[in-house]
Amino acid sequence: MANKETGLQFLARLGTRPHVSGIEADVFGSGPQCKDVIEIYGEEGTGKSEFLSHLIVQCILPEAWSSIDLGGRGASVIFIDTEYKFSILRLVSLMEKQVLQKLADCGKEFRLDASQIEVFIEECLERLYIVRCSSSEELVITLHSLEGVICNDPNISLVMIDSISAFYWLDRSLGGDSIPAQEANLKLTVEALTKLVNTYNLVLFATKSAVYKKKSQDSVGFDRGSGVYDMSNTGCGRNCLSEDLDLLHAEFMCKPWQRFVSHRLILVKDTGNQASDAGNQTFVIGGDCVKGNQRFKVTQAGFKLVDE
Amino acid sequence: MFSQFFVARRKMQFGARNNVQQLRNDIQKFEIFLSSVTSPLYQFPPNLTGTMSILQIGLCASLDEVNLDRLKTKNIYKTTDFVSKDPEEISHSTGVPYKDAVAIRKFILAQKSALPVKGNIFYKNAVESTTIISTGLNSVDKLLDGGLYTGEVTEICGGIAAGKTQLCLNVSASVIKQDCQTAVFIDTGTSFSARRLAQMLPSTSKLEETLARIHLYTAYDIYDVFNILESVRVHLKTPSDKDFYSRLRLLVLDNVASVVYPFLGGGAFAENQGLLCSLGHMLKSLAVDFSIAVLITNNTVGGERGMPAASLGRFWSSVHHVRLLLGDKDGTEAERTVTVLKNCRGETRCSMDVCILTDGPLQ
Repeated sequence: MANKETGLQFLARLGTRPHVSGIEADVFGSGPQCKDVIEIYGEEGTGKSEFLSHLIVQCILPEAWSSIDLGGRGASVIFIDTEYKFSILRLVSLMEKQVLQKLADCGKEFRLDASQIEVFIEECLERLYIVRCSSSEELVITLHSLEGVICNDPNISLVMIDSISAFYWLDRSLGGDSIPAQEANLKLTVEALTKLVNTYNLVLFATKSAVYKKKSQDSVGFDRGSGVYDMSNTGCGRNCLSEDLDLLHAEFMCKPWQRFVSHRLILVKDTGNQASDAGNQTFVIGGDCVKGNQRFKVTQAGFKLVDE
Repeated sequence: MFSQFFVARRKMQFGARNNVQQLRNDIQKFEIFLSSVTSPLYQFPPNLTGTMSILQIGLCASLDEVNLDRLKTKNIYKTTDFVSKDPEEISHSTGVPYKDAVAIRKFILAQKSALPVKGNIFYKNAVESTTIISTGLNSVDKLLDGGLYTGEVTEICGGIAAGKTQLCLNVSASVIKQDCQTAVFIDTGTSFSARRLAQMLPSTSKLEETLARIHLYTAYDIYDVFNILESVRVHLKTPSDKDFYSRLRLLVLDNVASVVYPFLGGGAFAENQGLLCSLGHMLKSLAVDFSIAVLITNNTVGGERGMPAASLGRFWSSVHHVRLLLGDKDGTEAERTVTVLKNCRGETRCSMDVCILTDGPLQ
């Protein structure tokens, strides 16, 4: 049977959407390309949501404003928040800092007052759609209804889900003993996402928290004689930059999701010696990172790669 | 706002249905059935069991008994299954008329999906509804960039007798001393003391009036906590005790670990984590949907490299927005150090000192 679609769907499918390639070139290289599915994996507090906010800022800001080069993409983003952790105030503060930074970089004698910047930021925020889901059933049904939104807005080129693993334990316990029942909603979610990403040429970012942890490679030895923990092996010696972070990834999602993901970024807390200072916590991003493992910090201005 | 949208949409749909009573009966029958087959230990709050996702007669006008039977022959029981298939495919395989299939699909998508909100409207709502609640301690307020933010879950972890309840009482006192704010205190370990709370209030305030602005609930296990949170949510949505609940700004749960420990570590790991997930979810959604600051306390266990880590496991670490550690300060009796372990909004690992006095507020 031929697949029927309305004229609007036809245009939405074949029309061009703003491309998001070139953002964060150190991490993505020339990507992310259309139909890429990028999974961001990390434990708690490693900066996954921060990284997503940083990417949102790069996408929704336009290329230029009032002849200031902002380096954005002017693309619309759909952000699906399953963890109820998205902070719009933080996002706005990141955008303000980015605009002010670019203004300072320009070096021109621009005196833009705060109200102009505020109006501009509100215009940019119209390119962001935020959806909150409270269960995996709601997520499945919401993804189907989002098709209408994507059809109507030809500017949407990015979908972000924070996080895809939020309902993992709930689904597992409600599914009882049968694994197909536990994974049923997740499979339907992946089906819906596949349809959206492939039909409308979108890019998908999804964060995944580390539900299971692989046995840590550092060992804490307890010296019975003196009753002291031998700390010499732990943390300090482990240089995250040279480590293969793929080894830290422990998969727990269903097979359809594993097949769906095209790239995986892994974030870890840097346990190097300078990490214990206040406000100086660094992290490392690795996995399918174009330039290999890189160190980054989360400052007031957001995600920032640190040069060695 | 978001939740008002949801409630209004539901009301709209309710008006259009003709056999509401039958729908209620069906739902009740199903819930009784569900509670009889699952053992009491694994019961979940009704809104999270997924009973709402079962296709039922009367869900919408086109879903009558005939159509429902046709769908059941092809194993389509849930709304998620229905929505994942093309209506043409459904009509072809089950014999449900195409018009009906499209109407049911539209209905499910309209009623059960979450609405996307545009960023600028979201921002406006956030700015209007977020308030910063002072903890009553200048040093901690500085650490937290102003204090506790509504719409966020803050966790205080500490060892035994570290002063977590004292800190909670201090925050409650600073909330209720203003008459435009009220608080709810859920006590799981009978550690709440009204006398101590009164000591923390400024001496000029009218005691009875001020203390009426805090409601105390006692909970002895996790199901009590679920019931209390559910009833708070119902009160917030419907204007029953409007005077109190419209001014609710703070919800304290002291101590989360004591209601979780009894079932954690038992055989069924997945079910236990599922319960933790539900609890975390209820706390977060209360905070976010109704702009309340939620404050919870937790114990610590020995973590990596001998440093204290919060208990309740890895999953629980993803629930809060801000986590504070209350630790001893080098053996001095009355002094404690507050360290920020995790902060969604700012720097971590900074710390400040706090002094707990026998009478009067903390400093």
